[in-house]
Amino acid sequence: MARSKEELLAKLSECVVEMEEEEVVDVAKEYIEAGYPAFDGIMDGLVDGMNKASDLYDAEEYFVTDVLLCSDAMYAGLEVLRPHLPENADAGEKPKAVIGVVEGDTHDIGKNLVKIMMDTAGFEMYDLGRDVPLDAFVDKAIEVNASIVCMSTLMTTTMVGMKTVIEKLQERGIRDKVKVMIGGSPISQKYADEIGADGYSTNAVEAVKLAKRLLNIA
Amino acid sequence: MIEKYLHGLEIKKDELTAIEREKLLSEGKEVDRIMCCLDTGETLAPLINTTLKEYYHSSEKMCQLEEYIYETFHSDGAGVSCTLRGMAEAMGAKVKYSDYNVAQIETPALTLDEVDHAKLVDVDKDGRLPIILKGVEMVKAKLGDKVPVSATVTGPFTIAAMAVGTEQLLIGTRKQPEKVKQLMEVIVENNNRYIKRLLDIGVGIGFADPVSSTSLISVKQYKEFSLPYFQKNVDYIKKNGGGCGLHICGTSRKLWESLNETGIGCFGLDNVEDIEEAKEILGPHMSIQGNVPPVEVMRLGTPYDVLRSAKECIRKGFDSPKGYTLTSGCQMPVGTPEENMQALMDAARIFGRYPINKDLLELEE
Repeated sequence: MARSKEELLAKLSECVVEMEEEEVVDVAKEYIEAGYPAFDGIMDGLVDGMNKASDLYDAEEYFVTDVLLCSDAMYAGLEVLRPHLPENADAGEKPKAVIGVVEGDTHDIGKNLVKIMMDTAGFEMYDLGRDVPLDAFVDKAIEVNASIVCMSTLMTTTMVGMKTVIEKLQERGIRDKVKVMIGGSPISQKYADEIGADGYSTNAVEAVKLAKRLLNIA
Repeated sequence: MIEKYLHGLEIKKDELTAIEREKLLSEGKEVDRIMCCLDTGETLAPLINTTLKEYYHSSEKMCQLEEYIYETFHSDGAGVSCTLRGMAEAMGAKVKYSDYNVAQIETPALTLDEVDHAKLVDVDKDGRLPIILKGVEMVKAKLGDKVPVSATVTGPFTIAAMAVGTEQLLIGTRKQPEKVKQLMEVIVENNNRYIKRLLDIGVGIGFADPVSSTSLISVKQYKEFSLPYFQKNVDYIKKNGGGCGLHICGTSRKLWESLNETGIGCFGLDNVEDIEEAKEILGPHMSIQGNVPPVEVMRLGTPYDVLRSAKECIRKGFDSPKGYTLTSGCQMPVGTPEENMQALMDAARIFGRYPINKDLLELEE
């Protein structure tokens, strides 16, 4: 017997939580073939699962490896569902955020976690990768009309780049249009205050809360 | 009170050399002050007007920096590190060197699918290993009669992360666990080859294993993929009459009970962990070191901040059953002011002076 929409949504969510990168594809296909809306499949299935994974990470039941594998499953499911979204389904709705590891640094696990979690939380993420030239943060923020710029680094020698980006945002007249969030092991609230960033968070779950707080999103 | 530092606060002169102090402490005898080590390495190369890149490639510069640190500050330790990427580089990873930045992996040595071909290193030929070993030898020859000399080896799990990429390694622990274990065995052997040379030179050994932090992996992963291989290196050292310590950057609290079983002699805490708790859990089994914040305090703070933070560390750690050494919670960053290094050493001379003045340690400002 064909599974109900609720059953399939629960299964999609479970596949993400259980890191079932292959099964999630089959379930997503079954869900679409049954004629259910892709949007619900994403939000109430995949994203629901990723939110659960994020709660488990917050509770220290899941660790970095689990979150990475859960997100692999989520993205595998998204690839199936996304083409079935109606045209302009979410056009202009999502707040946009530019994210990257600052120039000179290639440590990107923390950045990747923040990207995954913010993506799940409904932000449209523009991931510039690692060792990102400082101007690229500003260029991208202007190009996509971003609300947030997120920067990370693991090294004291490169963290000063964050300050430079903030100065560049100022010079190019968009400092008051974007919120700047920073993170990474040498970073602290004190440093964020010193360089005039809008926020600092210690981990990816906190980063999502911070982003929502900065944009006054419930 | 701390504001009187350099303006009348008494700093008693050292009465012993570092090596005398260490020897007396190991015999349970009285000494002048607690031990204090400056956690140095490539990041401090600019102190001797050298770029990090030059330092990484010169045994002479490695030795020169340790001499400078010893002569200037009288730190209780001197040594040379294999550096976090040294072994992975010898196994074939490509490393990018910069003048004023710590080296980073450009291309990993291999993928987990290629683990059958993981390289057994020749410590006399591969990567910078011969340069580093010569550096250790030079430091031992120059300073060995005055200060305990040690060499840092990278923890096997961290080497694996540098060899295949951290994210790939983490995912590999789930998707290709047998391949990861196969790689770990090769790394154990590589480390043992390097360790053998260190034991021949006659230096102490410290492991640095940041990727084993519970900030990155679970206790379960640690016990399956990291600890058994670390233990093999530790056993090798002990079988050959040596001793060793361990430093894990980031959180490590949940690993401490396991560490108590390993037979290591010392653990260095990151500043995110608490010395008082370490004293309780690890203290009966090994000496502990730590943990003045390297960035906030050592790099960005004032000498007064260093003194304040160090006083707190000493207050919590000085009576740890198997000994306590004042140091920073991790290697000091590029650009750490010399006044702050001096302040750390002076904190040991002021607050760590024997007999310990508990009133001074408890004193509110």
